[in-house]
Amino acid sequence: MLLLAALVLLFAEGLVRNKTTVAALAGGGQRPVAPDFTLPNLFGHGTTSLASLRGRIVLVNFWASWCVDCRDEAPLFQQIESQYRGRVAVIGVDASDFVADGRRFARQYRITYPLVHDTGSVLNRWVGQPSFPDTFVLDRQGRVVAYFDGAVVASNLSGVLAPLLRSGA
Amino acid sequence: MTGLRARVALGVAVSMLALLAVPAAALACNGWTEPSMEQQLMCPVCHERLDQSYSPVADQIRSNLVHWCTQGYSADRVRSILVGQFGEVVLAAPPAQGFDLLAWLVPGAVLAAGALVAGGLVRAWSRGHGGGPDPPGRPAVDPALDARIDADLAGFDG
Repeated sequence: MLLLAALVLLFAEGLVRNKTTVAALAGGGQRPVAPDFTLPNLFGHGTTSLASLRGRIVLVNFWASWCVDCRDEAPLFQQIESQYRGRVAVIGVDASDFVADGRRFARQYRITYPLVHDTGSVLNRWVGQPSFPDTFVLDRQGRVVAYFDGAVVASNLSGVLAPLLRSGA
Repeated sequence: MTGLRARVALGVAVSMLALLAVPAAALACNGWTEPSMEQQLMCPVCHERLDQSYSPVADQIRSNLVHWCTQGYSADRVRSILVGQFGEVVLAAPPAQGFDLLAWLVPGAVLAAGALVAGGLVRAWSRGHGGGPDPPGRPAVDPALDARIDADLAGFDG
């Protein structure tokens, strides 16, 4: 009986978790504070945490080497990183992917912004069921102000970034 | 004519060797086969079993399985590498440890509980039909009729 109760609780917890992902909250019009994460860098040599980027506008991009749309996005994020250095930070979270393939992808697209590798726990909390790519825009206080479910289009992204850059908030 | 026969015989021999080579290739991995491994794994994105998934990441995992098979990796090593890259979500069956142990114990516990309940019900049912009082509504046997039947049966015996 106890085991059965535990299973029911687990199922209920799964349902609640799916409705309380960062993506679900942001998609529902809320501005949740982005949960912090610390993940190993894709190329080794330590870890990177989201908290270390606080104070800047942050783009959190979940990608994978096998994702076709991610290939189109990578140059856009690289350009933003270069153009707004110090004001906008980009962090690429390689998830559901082989590290070796992720590294090859990063070299191919000459990505210089921080790249980390996730075995699924962060992706699960942020997105739940990913569509790849998934991108979040965080303001300087770490609140999620926009969520892109799928490929980011430059004009849509600049529409979100422009007021944040102007306001200084 | 002899040359033709020789060619046919050679063709048959090559075909038979090819047939033998197919299962040999499947067993070429270090104690595992690609089809059986695919049945033990899940696509980490679409959450379908790997042998039923056609997603890009499933294809990527499959191509790695081919590589690891030729490299002679053990099944444990393959699973360990995949868990390191994708997390335990890549395993079709949860590991029999920690909280995931519940997934292995609960079905057995439910079956055992079901068997106990069924056993109890059968016992209660058999007791209810084991010489207790007649259920209400059934007419009592008339003693005179009962004596007549006994007498008639005694007549048959005699």
